[in-house]
Amino acid sequence: MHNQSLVSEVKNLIITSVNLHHLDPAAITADTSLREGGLELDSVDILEVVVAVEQQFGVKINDAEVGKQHFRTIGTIADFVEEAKSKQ
Amino acid sequence: MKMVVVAAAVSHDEDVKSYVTQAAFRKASRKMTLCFDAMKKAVSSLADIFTPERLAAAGLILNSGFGEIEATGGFLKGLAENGVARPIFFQNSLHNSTTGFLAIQYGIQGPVFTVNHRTRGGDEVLDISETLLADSLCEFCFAVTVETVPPEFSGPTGVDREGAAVLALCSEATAAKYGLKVLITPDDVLKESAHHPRIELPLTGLKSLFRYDLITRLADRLT
Amino acid sequence: MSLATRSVCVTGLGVVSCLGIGVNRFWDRVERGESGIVEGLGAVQLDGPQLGSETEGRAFEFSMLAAKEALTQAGLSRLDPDDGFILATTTGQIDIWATEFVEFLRQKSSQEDLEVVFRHQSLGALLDTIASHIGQPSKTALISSACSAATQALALGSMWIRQGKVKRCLVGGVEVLSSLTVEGFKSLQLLSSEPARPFDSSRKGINLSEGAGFLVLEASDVVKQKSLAIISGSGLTTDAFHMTGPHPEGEGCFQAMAQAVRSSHLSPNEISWVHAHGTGSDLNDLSEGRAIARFFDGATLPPVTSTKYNHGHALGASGTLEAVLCVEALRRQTVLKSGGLEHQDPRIPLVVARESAPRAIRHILKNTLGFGGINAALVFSQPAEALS
Repeated sequence: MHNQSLVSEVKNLIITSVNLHHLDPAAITADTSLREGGLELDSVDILEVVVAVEQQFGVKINDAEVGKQHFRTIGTIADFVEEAKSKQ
Repeated sequence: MKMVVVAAAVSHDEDVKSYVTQAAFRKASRKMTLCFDAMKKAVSSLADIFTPERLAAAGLILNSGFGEIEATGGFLKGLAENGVARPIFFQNSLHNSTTGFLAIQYGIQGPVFTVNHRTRGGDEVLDISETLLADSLCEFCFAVTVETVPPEFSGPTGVDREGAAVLALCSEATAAKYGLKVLITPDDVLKESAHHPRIELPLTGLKSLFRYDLITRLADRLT
Repeated sequence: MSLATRSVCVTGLGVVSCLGIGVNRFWDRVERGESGIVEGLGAVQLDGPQLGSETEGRAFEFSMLAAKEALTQAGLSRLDPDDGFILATTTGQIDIWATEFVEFLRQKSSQEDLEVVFRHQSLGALLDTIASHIGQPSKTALISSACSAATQALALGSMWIRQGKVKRCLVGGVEVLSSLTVEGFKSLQLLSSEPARPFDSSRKGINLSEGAGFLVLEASDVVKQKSLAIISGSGLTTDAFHMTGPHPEGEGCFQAMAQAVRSSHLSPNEISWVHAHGTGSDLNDLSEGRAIARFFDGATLPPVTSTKYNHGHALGASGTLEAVLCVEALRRQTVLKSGGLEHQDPRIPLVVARESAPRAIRHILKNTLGFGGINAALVFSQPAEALS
């Protein structure tokens, strides 16, 4: 379903950009939530992830609603990136 | 009101190596981690006294000469090189960021001030603490000084001592009320303050002046 | 304790803002509902160095202009050596050192070149420079608690006077616009490109601005000129919740207001007007609004105003800039309109002032909420003679 290569890249990007090196990377999957019950990121972490994704993949998240919709799990971010890049 | 010191602690880089792998410190700056550790030592030394309720009612006054200059540099450099403004760097970049972090970690909800002076910071912190205690705005007040410099500053002038120092303060009456040993008296503070080392002005160099701060000098006597 | 004994009197005001130079101009333009916000920012229009301060930068310029206006109104040419001086700022003289600092980090500049300007990086250096120009007061402090810094500074100055540490204290807040704060707030998605709309259901965010607000505080027994207002009480609390977001229910803000009113020996019913922090951000206005509504629950809800539509959010200077408006409101017996409001957010159950209008004002409650969860509240009151 998800592009596994992208999922892996997004996962590593998040680990680096918000410093999740204390977590076991193998435990982070495409279905891992960014928020409660998953990575437990707060609002500023999410903004940091948005900035990192924009820069790494050359995509733009133009409004907060788009961000909310797509920045839920590792997999939804990967899907968003794949779709955005296909439109470029 | 006579202000006395009932606990003191100092932390350096070697004390905080284990924090880097802890989740709560994944966004913490070096200053935040050093201050946390020094506070932890001071609070632990009077664990029965510093309950969550007393910490909630406490005051916290923090000084740093350079403030969170590392995060400021990281933010501005990233902006200049890549046009990217990193939110976490910014959140950590204000002088107040260190204090806010400590207040959250220790649940301090009383009066919290951030001050900034390279040569008189500790003096200002102690004065503000005394003012707040005299007005009974808090029963205990934590006076903190911290200094680190970016690694890029270790040029010809070298890197002087960096670290965080904490004094737990209260009135003489409060110390007596709880049976706390007075570690430093107002006279001790006056004498130490009078021995203020001469710092050359205008402020030259990019060195940490942590060793000269009044709070550091007082804490060093006890640790 | 009656207000007439050991009162902390405000005797001088000085302002530099995006609405112009001087208190009268500031008040007039806010009263008329004008905004100094252009493309989301409130920049001060100052044509070149006014005071020969090419090397000290805009923060020093703004401070000296505002300090001189305040001291003059108080009948003073300078402070005495045993007076106090408290300065509040978040970034100080950042316009002098930030560029060179980045060049140094990118290895395009030497440490020697950096050291020339980096002596201005410490906020305390600005405090000392200003102090040396206004009489070299010996009791000083530099507060950098972000958005609540200047309100804390006023509270501290009041305590110094009431405790007899000084008879007089100049309290100032100053801020300049910088890439650090503008791009930083932008990265947190807190800015609006239009003038802010505090408490409005369509509010989009904050306008950063710059400027300086200075007040002379004096013990009632040394006042030479007229006392413009009394600082009756203050409240200082912390949310201990989040580094940059307020407590959702504004609990710390509520406690700060409660402390301020209690320390003034007043009840909520005696507050004539609330000058809110009201930044125009979604979260601040909601949490502050809830806190104010809860504080006045069971009492008569006074009108609430934010003036950040007019002058923006000047961070470390906001507390004193807005305190100037509170003191002027007491003097002129006028409540200011809360600009930018068309449709009030239904989640914020306040009486927001829809127009500037005459009103009998005895006591004003002033709020600030800052990054780090730092809350500060002050009560400004009519001078004692008017009250009796």
